Amino acid sequence: MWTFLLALLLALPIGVAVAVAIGIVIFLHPDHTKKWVATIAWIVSVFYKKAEYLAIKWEIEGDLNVFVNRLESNIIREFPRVSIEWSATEDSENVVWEENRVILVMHDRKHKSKNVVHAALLFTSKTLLQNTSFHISKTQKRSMELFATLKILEQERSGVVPQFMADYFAPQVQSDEALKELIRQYTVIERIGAFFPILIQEIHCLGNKVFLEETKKEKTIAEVKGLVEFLIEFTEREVGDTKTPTTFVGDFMRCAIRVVASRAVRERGDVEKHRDDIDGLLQRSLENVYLIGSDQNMNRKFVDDVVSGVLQDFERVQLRKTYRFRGKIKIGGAWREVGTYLVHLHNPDAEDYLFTKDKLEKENARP
Amino acid sequence: MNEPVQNIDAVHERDLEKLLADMGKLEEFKQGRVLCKFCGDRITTANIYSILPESGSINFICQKPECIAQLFEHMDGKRPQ
Ligand SMILES: [Zn+2]
Repeated sequence: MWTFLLALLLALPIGVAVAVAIGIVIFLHPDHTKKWVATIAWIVSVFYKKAEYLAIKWEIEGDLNVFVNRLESNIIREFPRVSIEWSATEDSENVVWEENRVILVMHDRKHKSKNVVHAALLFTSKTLLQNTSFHISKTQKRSMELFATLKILEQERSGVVPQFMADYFAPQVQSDEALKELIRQYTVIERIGAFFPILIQEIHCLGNKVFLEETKKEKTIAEVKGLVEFLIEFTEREVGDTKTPTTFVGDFMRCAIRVVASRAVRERGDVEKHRDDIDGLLQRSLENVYLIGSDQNMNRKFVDDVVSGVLQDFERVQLRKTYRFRGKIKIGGAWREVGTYLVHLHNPDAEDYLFTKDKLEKENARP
Repeated sequence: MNEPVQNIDAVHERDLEKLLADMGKLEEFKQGRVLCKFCGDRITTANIYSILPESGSINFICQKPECIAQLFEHMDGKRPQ
């Protein structure tokens, strides 16, 4: 296809060729295109005020949708693309607003950073963490909103980070020790690449689940705390450590995380032990099982062998993502390079949203 | 290319009066009688974060981090009608 396109471009007059080339780039990367068109629209808006509507809209849509694209390449969830809809504009006769829909107020060009920050906060809360207030604590939710928004802005529009830190992050985090501690933990988890692919993905799914019959909030709060602590322990694991737990099971989140492998087990080539344990987890109707370990070649090969065994045992289970991440963590005051290898297995038969007390007890009681 | 879309409703501050007039809130706003749903501070063009039409009334939320966080908690479980 590329050879044909190149031949086509060469055969066209230069002006048409440039227009076609731009058209292809826009078609292939619509959200990236929005980001740079927004920059041009901001310049035009100095002379022509109406361009400001396009600048605001495309800047925010470009930033958030490029982030969503990037996020989806690391996790299995699909998130909606953001579209800014004007409730009222100078030109339009129509004024549109609806019950229970937040209308974000966009400010003029002097405060354009604020617009991006405000929209990113709303996106994090409404899209990534929707309905999670029913299951996690205020501090857990707020800390995730702040940290996820910070990561979005750092990746997509680092220029607005100082404003976000000054106006939102620092005032809340500085004065709240619990919030500060959670942010510290997310920073460590982010350094092994597990913040969005495991933590946010699972919390997002938890938001869609309904537990009937009795309020379980204190239990789900404890479970989320347990997940965060498990991931922290994983980052602090020394090679050869056999004492730290190797498996986390989320009874409410319906997921499990398995650390593969300790050096001793791997050197014995003991694939079967891990395979049996993971088979056991899948029999408990857990929706997602993550295998996490070092990204060293030998370990990656070992993980892949375990995964092929599990996939032979469960025809319906899907290998949804393999994910390699290079990061740095601080252990005992010294920075250490770490590579993480993460494999996400998904059990479509276990996808469920409504849980009765009986059902949870039955599934969690399995060996 | 048929991805689901999440609309974020927005109003530019220069169109705020038009929207408030439609909502029947313009006079109140001009007189400084519109207050933040969560902290009770007076809402102005400079400090407004969002507007939330809810249960037949119009709520206003200011830009304080605490008020924005409370709005997000409040919105969980709410569905547009
Ligand atoms: Zn307020």
